[in-house]
Amino acid sequence: MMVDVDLLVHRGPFTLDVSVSVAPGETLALLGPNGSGKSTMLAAIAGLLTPDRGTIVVGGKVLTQVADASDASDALGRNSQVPAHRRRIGLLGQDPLLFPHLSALENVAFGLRSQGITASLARARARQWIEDVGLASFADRRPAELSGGQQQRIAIARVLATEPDVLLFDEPMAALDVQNASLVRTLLRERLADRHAARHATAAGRGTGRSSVAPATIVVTHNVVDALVLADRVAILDRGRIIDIGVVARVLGQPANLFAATLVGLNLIEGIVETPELVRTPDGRRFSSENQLPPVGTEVSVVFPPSAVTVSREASMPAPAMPNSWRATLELLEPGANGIRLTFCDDTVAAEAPPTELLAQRLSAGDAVTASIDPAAVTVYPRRPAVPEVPKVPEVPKVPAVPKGPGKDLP
Amino acid sequence: MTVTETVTVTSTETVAAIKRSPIRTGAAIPRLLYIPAVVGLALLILPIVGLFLRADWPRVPAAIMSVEAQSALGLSLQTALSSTVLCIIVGVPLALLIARSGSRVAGLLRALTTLPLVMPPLVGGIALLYLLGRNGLVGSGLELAFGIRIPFTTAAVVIAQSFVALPFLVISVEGALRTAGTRFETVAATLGAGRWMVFRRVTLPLIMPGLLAGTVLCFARALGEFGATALFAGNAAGITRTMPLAIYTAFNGAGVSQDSAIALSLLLIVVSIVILFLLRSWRTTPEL
Repeated sequence: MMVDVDLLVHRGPFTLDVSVSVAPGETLALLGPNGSGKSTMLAAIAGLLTPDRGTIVVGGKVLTQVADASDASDALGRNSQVPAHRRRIGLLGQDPLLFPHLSALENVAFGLRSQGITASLARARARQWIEDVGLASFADRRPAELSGGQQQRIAIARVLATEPDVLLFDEPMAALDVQNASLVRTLLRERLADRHAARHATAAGRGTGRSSVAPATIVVTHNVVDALVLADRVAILDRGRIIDIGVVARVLGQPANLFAATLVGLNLIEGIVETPELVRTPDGRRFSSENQLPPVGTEVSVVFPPSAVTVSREASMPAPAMPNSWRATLELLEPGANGIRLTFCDDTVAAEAPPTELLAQRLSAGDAVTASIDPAAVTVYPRRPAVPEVPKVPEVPKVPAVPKGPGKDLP
Repeated sequence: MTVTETVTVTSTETVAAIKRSPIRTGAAIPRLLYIPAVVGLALLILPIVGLFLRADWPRVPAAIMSVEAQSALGLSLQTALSSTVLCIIVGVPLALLIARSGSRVAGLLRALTTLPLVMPPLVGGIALLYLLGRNGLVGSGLELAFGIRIPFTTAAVVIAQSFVALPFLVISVEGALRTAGTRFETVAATLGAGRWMVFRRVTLPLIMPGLLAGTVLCFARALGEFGATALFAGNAAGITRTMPLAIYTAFNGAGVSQDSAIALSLLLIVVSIVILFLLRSWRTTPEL
């Protein structure tokens, strides 16, 4: 079902101020570093905390309505908060939190029995859900007898079995090792993709028949892979505010600012198109790209992956006037995703190189080097206004749209 | 070069030895501490050993099978069981209230709950008498309105036992509730379970080990209760004379030998141990 969220939460010095909508069957990834307010947002949607101000509407039903106490005109509508167990919102965190005293089957059946379904019917449906996550032969085991990955798969079955209107995943892969994380991610993608098609489960006799509308899904993560694999849209959260939101390819491929770029592991430098071939940055570096540049005079973002940056000792190799290269001083060498990550003094750019290359050049911190970039790896696009777009909603909501707060200003 | 190699080998062995050490029993305790530990054990065990040695064994069966002993044992089991049930019914909700309160309220409630624990049972008996006695705060009203008199009845025994035993149950259940936390309850709520459903199917099963431990403590305390019972319920044979009171009576009794007091004590010890073991074996089956 359609979800409209407009929240203001104060927690000491931290403020969460977000406004977002997710369409039925759509998956939104919330990407942000620790402490950016992702989990707080999910807790508010799930009804586990009451915001200081805000509205949460799911499928036309107001679940949370808290008017600003300081605004008398706003306080006309009475405040309301539907308790967590009546919200039909499923929440899965990084810990599976399977009930330790119940078998896997009883865990999955728990939500159905809470809905008043008889024990035998609940178990039959639970068994189907456990089959769906590929653990049919483990149905009668206690959680303690399952591996971490298996527990999380049962937890997925348990939350899906209740057929919630909204699905919230809070870093569901974070506590798993790489192999299990990949397995669970694939499983989630399959399950989420299922819902885009008409809910066949109802025809198969599994559905309750009451929710023919696919749920809206929000996946909180700090892992870009999760966003790429699972999400239709991505929102980037920084210190309690959404700084960018849109389709995955654009938000992750053309980051709005340095923060977003760093989060997705890209270098970003802002500049202005100087000639049809060259971009000039305020610090005097010049970049070219193999792709067509925007018109001369456009303010642009220049983006390239750290692996496209080559570092060499020889000062003379590329002429200093050449684009895509500059002199720099090595600041730090640290482990990176694809080898060793290099950072430079007074620069946001990072490079990544295989250890063998560094060994061959005997590079260490403090060395003066020449950095150069493969023009094929450079992407240049007009700088995006640092204001979140109005969320694109594929389906028109049946209810009047919830009033949104003013456009969020950015740092 | 050889030197460095030796060093490496030694350090590897040391690491391995450190990793093994926790498995070797006793390795971590300073030897000096064995002495007070053994003294403590002796303090607990020797009096009971003394009792067994002092017993006049040929006369024990007769003393145990006597009508007085049987009636006292029956009354003890009946009242201790009743007060344990009463403690569970009121104690679990009380523990829940404490565990889910804010830290200040919880601290106050916990202090009030543990008061009977630090109070001499005799004082508890006097307090109960002044509350529920004929001229007591509530007692006078009860007698006027319903003609109910509580002191010196079997009900008084149950109330006195509950008064002293309840803190044991509440404290262990509250500890279990705190350990269990609220995370599973939150998950249950997001799965659609209402408060009763969460309490019945999540909270209660999760605290079951703590509840059983608390029940054992509570029952044991009720079974051994003497002071409050003696003052509030008196010492009427068959009505309020539980095992501890029967033992006291036999010990001080005119004409009766102290041997029957010892025999009754042995009986109470054996009954306690049997109950403890029954509950233990029951407790290990539902593994958590």
